[in-house]
Amino acid sequence: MDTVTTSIASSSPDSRSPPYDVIFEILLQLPVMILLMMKCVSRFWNSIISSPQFIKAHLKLSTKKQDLRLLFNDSLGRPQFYTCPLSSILYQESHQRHVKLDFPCKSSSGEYKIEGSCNGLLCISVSRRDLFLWNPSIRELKKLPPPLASDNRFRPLCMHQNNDVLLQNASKLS
Amino acid sequence: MASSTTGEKKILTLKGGDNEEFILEESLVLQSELLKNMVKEERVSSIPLPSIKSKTLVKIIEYLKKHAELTPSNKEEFKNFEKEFVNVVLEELLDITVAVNYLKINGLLEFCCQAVADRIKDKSVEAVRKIFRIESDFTPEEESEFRKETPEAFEGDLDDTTN
Repeated sequence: MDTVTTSIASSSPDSRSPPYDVIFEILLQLPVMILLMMKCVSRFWNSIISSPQFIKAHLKLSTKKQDLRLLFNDSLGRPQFYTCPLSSILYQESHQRHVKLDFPCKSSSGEYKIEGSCNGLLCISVSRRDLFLWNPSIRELKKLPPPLASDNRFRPLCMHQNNDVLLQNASKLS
Repeated sequence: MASSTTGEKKILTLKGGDNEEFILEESLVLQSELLKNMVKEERVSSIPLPSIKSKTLVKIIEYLKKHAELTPSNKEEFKNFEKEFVNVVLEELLDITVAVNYLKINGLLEFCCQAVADRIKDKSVEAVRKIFRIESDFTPEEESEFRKETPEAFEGDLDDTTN
């Protein structure tokens, strides 16, 4: 039999700093809170964690792992939300593991309400007028353009593959 | 050169970074997508892997052997083996993970990455930089901006060790 020896040195990894794929896979296994910290390791790490591919892959994996969290408002109207692992409620763990989340946009007067959610994003209305999309995991907030009629309320229905959010006009539901 | 066949079993030689040779059954390396393609398409019988330390290669071959012996009855034993497999110093675990990624041993890659993630999740940013040999390219102002934006991510006792 012929002996063939191939050299594959050209594309081999430098063991001193792991390649992109490995960093990507390792970061994928970390919870969001840790990722927020890891963003400041370097620009390269920050760009991986902020990339749409990473965000999508992370969402897919955490849904698979069923690491679900419940988010709630302590009382209607206040810009204060809490989150806790769903498991701690389902299995009635004695210690409270809920975390307070501050809504990043506060006005002194205003009624804050969760209108709906999908893929970990929340649609929050303030004073039944302004609409925000909020990603509480990464504390990112986007104000939505005002609806056509001022009394309309919208809630997110679903997210498309390209991460567009389809909003449904809730006032037309009944 | 080890291009011989003994009975039906084909033998293959892997050469580690320090030229140490490992002779093993070809069927074992088929768990690696990279080596499988080389064996099947190019009919190689000796594969140099200069970027992989022999110490790392020994560990990986050990895994391939154990994994090949996996049956429903020794599942528990295999799980214990896996736990021990990643119970090495972090630097060595990273070497293994990089090699596993290079060799494309899919099931093992996710397991190793999870093990690395578990080991770094309580580390400080500075420790993580040391472990991954990264120089920070953020200005101190930019860095404090991160801390200001998400102070809760930086809370708690963070571990500065690199092991």
